[in-house]
Amino acid sequence: MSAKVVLISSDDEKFPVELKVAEKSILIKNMVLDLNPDGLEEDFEIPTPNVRATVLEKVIEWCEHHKNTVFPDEDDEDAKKSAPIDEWDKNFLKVDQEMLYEIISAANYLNIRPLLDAGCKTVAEMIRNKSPEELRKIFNIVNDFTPEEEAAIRRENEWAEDR
Amino acid sequence: MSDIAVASDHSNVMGRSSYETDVNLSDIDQQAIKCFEQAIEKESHGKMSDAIEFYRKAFKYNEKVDLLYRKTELPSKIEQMRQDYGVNSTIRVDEEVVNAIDVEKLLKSFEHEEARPPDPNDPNNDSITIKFANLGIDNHPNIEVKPVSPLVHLPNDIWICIMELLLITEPEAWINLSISCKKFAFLGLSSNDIWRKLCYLVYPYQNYEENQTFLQSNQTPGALIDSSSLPIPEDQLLILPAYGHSWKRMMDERPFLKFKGCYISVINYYSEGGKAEFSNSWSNPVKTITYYRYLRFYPDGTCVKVLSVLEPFRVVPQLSKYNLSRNITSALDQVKVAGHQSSVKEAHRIYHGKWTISTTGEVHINIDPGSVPYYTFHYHFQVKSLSRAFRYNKLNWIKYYTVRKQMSEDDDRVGEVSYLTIKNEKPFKFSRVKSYDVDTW
Repeated sequence: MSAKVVLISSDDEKFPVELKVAEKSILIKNMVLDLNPDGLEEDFEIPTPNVRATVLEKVIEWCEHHKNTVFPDEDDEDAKKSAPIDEWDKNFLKVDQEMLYEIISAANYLNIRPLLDAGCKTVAEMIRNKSPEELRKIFNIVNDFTPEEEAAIRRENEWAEDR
Repeated sequence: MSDIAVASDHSNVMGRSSYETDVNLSDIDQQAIKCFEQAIEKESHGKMSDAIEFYRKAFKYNEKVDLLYRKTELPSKIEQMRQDYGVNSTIRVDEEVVNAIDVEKLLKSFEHEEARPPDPNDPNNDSITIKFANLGIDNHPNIEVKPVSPLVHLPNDIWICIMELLLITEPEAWINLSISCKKFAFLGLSSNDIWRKLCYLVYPYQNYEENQTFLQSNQTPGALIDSSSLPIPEDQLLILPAYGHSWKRMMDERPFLKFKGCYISVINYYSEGGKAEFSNSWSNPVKTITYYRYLRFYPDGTCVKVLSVLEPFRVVPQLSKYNLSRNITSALDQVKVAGHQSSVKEAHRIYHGKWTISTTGEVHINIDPGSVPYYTFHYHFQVKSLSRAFRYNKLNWIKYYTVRKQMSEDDDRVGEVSYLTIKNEKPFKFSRVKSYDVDTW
């Protein structure tokens, strides 16, 4: 058995994972490299103080599924952004808003770029084809503009949606 | 934002009205309302004689149809607006107050605003208070406030990322989110990153006249021209200083052509008809004739042009350079084609051409081949704004001429320019077409 990376959630649950899986997180990859320059010889514990066990479990599930996925380089940003969300990721992220928030935050903190992108696309998907009032309902927020402020902001910016 | 409803499914526009559901209206009144709505529709397209006919019909059914419409249809339309855009959309604002607002400053002032959830204890929050009032627990101090979605608390840079995603894939959604509350207005409209992204989505795809001229005069065979040495460089950073290092200002001040839609010009003219034999009428009947000019531009410097009597909802979905038939087919034509090989009607043809734009926003279109084989057709337009709220969505006519092509070895008329009248022409207006998102790029 090769040595594992042991991720410790904020609520002290331990998750032993293969190095290859844990390395999907650039933060962890760099930590392992920095502190084990000669390679992993024994289990290596890394606390993730911002991530709860239920969320960490989900994130590891994602890393596990994608351990052999080669993600394209960052050079074509626009193409990457307009590409549709991966079907498996789409189903994986069919979670409530609270969980989605925690997964995105964890992906951000652990520096897992493809998961972060998938999370952002999922939020964007929620926003598409909605009126401002529907968006307020989705995010449970109030319209805090005065009528004049709203009119002025629209007049100054709304035209830019046509291009 | 588009002022012409270019719905691909035209029946939807008419079918959405609520007269079907309104149980209090008699059949005749429903007919009256239906005609009245059709009249409004025709009027909005400038089809006055059709509009008048429908208005007449409507008033025949019910002589007070205008009041009836106001009473039965307007409230539901206003309610629809409220449901889509919120309570502010139905309040008449003080124009002077609106004009006095410095929007840039206002957006910056939202930097530390937190999004708030609807508060059922707030008497101004009518939708929820009404519910509680009905329960008899109005003003109850301990109604629990449901917090905002946790997603609202994502870090700003992630929200800007999401805004950029929307900007690239569905610009309407970017605006709709940005006007939902102060926090999102700050994130979506005040960030330099967003406007930079937008500039990069717009300006590198404009085919500048100045660059074309430069390239033609510097044709050294085999030599590659560095794009930064062009009169208008592709690297937008080199242009940014001219706009006080503000990407938003660049968008505001630098004219551009739009690709995610088409430009339509509606021309109405009157033609005097003759009287029927033995008619006692004192005046001759007058007929209004409406036709349309359509233009669609592509980022690669090509464009298509159609001149037709067919209405936008028929033409717009077929207006594409990838339309291999190079024709707009109307339902009528299709029937004919099924029977026998019909020749293509001149009026429905899609002509292909090339376009350039100058830094000042003068657009030059060159159609070749056009409707006359020995001419190339040239159009010059100026990009204008309909108003402050509708920027760069209009093309005004400057000139229209033909240039004679070389038809034979010793053609001494080659290059001859003939100007055509633009007296009866009307400006083009831009209409956003969602289905164009797919084959624009």
